[in-house]
Amino acid sequence: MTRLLVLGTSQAATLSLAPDLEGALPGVQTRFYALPGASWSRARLDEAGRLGPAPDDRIGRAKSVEWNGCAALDMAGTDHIAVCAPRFRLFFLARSLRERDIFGLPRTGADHAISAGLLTAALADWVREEIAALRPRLPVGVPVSLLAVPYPLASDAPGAPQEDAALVRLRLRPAAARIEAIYEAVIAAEVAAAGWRWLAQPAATRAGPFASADRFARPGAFDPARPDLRHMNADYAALAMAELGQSLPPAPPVAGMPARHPLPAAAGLA
Amino acid sequence: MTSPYHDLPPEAFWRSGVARTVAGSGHEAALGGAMPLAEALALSLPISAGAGIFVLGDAFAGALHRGLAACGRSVEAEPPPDGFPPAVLKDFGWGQGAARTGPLRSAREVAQLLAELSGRRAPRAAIREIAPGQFIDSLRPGVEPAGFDSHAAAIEARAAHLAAISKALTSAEVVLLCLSSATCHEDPAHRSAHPPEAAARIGGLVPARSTLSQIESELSSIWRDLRQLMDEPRLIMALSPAVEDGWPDGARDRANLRIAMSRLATRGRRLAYLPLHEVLTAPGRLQDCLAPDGRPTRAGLAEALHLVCGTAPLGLPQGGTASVPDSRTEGDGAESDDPLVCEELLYEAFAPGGRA
Repeated sequence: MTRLLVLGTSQAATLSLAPDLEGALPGVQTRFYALPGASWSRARLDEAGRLGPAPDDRIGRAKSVEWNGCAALDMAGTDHIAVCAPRFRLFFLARSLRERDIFGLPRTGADHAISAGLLTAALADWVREEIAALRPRLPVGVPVSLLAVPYPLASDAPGAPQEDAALVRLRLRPAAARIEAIYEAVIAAEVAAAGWRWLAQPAATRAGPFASADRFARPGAFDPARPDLRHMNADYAALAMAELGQSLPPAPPVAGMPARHPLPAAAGLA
Repeated sequence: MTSPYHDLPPEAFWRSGVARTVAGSGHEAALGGAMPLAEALALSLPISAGAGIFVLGDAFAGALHRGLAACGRSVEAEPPPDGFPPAVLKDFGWGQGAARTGPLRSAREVAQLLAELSGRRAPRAAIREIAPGQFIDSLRPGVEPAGFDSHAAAIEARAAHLAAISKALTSAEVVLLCLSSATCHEDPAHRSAHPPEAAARIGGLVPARSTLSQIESELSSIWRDLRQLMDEPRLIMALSPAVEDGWPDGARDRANLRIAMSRLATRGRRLAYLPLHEVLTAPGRLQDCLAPDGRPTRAGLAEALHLVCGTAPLGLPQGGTASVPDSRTEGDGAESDDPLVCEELLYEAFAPGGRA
């Protein structure tokens, strides 16, 4: 049995909507712990190794109790931790690239341009910074997977944040796929360099560069009163959790218990 | 036998040109404080307060650019993209000079750049492949540490670089040229001049030293091209106080630079020689003004800027690079999802009887 802990913000909570987790991830016991974004970014391990909001974050502690049933999470016995990743300045990048082309890639007629090398170096710096910020929230010695949070939905919605609109413009660039490839390659390389696993957004959930397919929209996602293009539905969660499950290393055999992935051939010989 | 100085006017020499110009004081009074000395050596035609200054030259010129930028006086050809990490921008050549060329130590390198800008002569084979799929601009190799990933990207970047400098020059009124050497690295096959940083990355470059007459010709070329590129420009020349190169003839080169600059400065009211080197390395001032590695101290930079601007500048940077904004100042809020939406989702996910 692999004891899996999924951590993060509301994006982690989204993953908990996956139906039939026990059936989809046989031999995996999954727990979730999520905090509001502002509290998650300041969360820390306490002296006993429990994860929770910062001591001065009263609202975060109240929310932790309300949503997770505890003020702080005891992570003892966890075999693997999956963390919903930050977006690594994606929206900032989308805004910045509104006014800049990239040398060697198809141009949009912007007044300025930067090199792919500069883009790569800046992204790497941002990813390292985010990884460094995550480390104080994680116990030493437990393997970590970093899960990509989904790109916003492909369709725009009136009233959506301006950052989402900037991303829509980025998608329309002729070099969007190349820019996405650079973005994801840098993240994968830096996460690997940190000793963690990187899980990109499942291919089946995508609708072109920097976009999630609309069929994964939550109910009411396009409501003009409060559009939400960034959180996906239970179908998305099922696919993401299935990929996470497949990426997990085999659980160490425990005396008296079968391995998580018994070989069919061995079963046949028995 | 004559010396290179035999036909220079009295004002070209320290004792007759500097120390005795401080009224009623003599040399000793000049040593007593920087301000009388700086005032004595100030430009006869001061730079007006609103004039944009474009700084070209060596690493000391880069420091001057940063100081002037902090005062809002420097014109910058390629402003850094907002919000990118300052350390990364520094690695890619930002904050080190107005033109983002990397240090241009010799008049020949500057003359070559301006000749390319004016369309008189484009250096051939500026873009070099240093490894499969790795291209550098050998005229400014420091701006792309890992090189460009395609020849086309490198060509585009050079074209954009030149266009940006041309545009910046048209918005500047003064070009401040601060040089430290008469030797560069030459590609004999193409007769092109390269900075030392290029020699470390591409082969076949050899040291090439300009004689006094060649330096004079290079400076004249610079002045000719500036008049073509700018509307009524002013060119202020200075010998860099920093000694950057290790060439055996470095001292003689700098003397020749000093002479060539002085001679050109006599050719018009819009030309001037600024005695940065003389002021900052004056006896009793050197240790205050320059760090052992040749970079200006804060006091040295302040004095240099005082000499350039005629007034004490405000808001000097603490050193390093000109400050650039970081994405953290505006990015974090934008990265966060709508708290109300998130809370709603958390309720949905973790509600009693829910899945979690």
